[in-house]
Amino acid sequence: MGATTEQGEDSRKTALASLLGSVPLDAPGVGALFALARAFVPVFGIGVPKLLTTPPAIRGEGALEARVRKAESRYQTLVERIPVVTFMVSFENQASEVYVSPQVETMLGYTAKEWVENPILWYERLHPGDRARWNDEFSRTVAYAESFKSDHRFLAKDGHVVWIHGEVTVERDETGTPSFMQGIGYDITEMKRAEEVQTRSRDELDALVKVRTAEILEVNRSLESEIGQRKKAEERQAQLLGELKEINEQLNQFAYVVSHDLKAPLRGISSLAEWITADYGDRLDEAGREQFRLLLGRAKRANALIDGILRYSRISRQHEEHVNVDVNQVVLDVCELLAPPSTIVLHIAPDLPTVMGEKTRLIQVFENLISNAVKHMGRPEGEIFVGCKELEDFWQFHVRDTGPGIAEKYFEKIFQIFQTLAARDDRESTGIGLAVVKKNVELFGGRIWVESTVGTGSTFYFTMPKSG
Amino acid sequence: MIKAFSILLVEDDLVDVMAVKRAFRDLNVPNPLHVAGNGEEALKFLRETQPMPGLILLDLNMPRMNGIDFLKVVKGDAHLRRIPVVVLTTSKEQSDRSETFNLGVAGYMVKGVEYAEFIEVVKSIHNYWSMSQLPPLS
Repeated sequence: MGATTEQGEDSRKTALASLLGSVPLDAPGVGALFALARAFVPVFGIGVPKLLTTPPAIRGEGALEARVRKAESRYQTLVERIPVVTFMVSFENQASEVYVSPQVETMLGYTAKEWVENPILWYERLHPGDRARWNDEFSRTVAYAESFKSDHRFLAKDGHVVWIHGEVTVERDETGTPSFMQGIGYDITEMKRAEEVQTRSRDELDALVKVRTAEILEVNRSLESEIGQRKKAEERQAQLLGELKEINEQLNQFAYVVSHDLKAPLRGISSLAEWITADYGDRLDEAGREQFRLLLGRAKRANALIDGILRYSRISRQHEEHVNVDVNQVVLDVCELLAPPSTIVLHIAPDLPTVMGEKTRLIQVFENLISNAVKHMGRPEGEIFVGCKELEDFWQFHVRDTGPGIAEKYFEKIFQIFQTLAARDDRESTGIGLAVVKKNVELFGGRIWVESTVGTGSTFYFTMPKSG
Repeated sequence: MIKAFSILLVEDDLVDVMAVKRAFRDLNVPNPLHVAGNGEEALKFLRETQPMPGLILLDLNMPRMNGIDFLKVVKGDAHLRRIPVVVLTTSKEQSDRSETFNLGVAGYMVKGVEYAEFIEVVKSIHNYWSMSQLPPLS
């Protein structure tokens, strides 16, 4: 105790008197600074408040007084050692006994004496941002006897912010007039800071969760739209496949009709031409017989063209299972079937591979390439070489001949359907063979090209993927 | 030729009919030749004629009732099914070959564009069926 002086008490009394003024303490909704100050100013000065210890009635009794002092001393020790500031304000006679325990200095930097000397110091040090709330809360405590329990910020002497939890009770006399109030306050800055950190972390976490949620939603949306698009694409694909199937069927039908309906009259024409020559040949002159010969040749050519169209259209219509195909055997079979004149020498590499694919396509490719080499040799003698080179992902086959060769400007043209280089009357050729070869090669995922020197010969290359 | 059974040609193309007749003449085939222009006519002939022909030469592409539909009726008829049917057509289509053999035809000949080839076809048919035993025809 002894934190206050007579002088301090005087100034306290003066200040309190001026503060208390004439505002009634029980006025509800007291918001005015003075009323509140009157209610809470920690202007205590003289040790442990007498109210807590000895009623005036028993003063003057020696032994009892000694016991009381002893007890008082214990209370003092208790009140002034616990890490809590206690305070007391009396409303009686407007000249209250006030007390504030010295721990306040540790808490806010001002000594208990300073608090007592300046009755409005506490309000000055109350954080401006919390004043309105404090006014509101405390006026309710005074007016409606609600207990006061609240947290406010105070500015310590050195200016740093201290959060203080305060609890105050107002005691009243039998008429209900507030007679005094007492309370405690303790530093909860650390707790508040921890709360803030927690709140901030939670806010950050919330923000992060929001961001992530938004990201996930965005990803979901784009996935959904992608799925939608894919679905649409799939539907479109299914529709196209359906249409393709239908068109293929129509083409099938068309090819069949062409086959029969065009070939039947053609056969009729050639039969009749033959019969006329046979039956009435002796009544025709040489020119007439020549014309019938040409007529027959043209009918035969038309027939071959129709066969070619059918063959060409059949390539992509007919698919067979992918199997292991021994290319050696394929080439041998093809050569045997074609039976080229013995003056043409065939050199077949002994190490042709076994490949994965549709056997009929491979047969058609070699059949056309080798028969072309034989047909276009241009002279009775010649040589044909068949071989293969292994590349990383492909087999590269070749068929080389010692024929007349092809000029470079025709390298592309020869693979187009119905394109022939020789006049049809010189050499019956439909211009289907290489188109058939190209289509087959492309259908099994390969490429075909020719390299040639006029006068030396041609080499046809084609590739076939090893994957089948 | 052990005996001259008759042959029914089911064919709508006049030149093709002429070709068969001419080939029969050129090859001295003695068998009487009946001609029906489509499947319906052929069925009518088969049901009205006794004894039945020993061989049917059948074109596939015909008006009113084509060769396949005709075959379905004939091979579904307990009485007619025993008559051997040889298809004589321009079609090399795989579907036609499998369908007709599934319906029990005895042979499948493709008419070439040249008469000389056709003569060979008719000669083969004649040689084979003049040697072969026939089913009872009544």
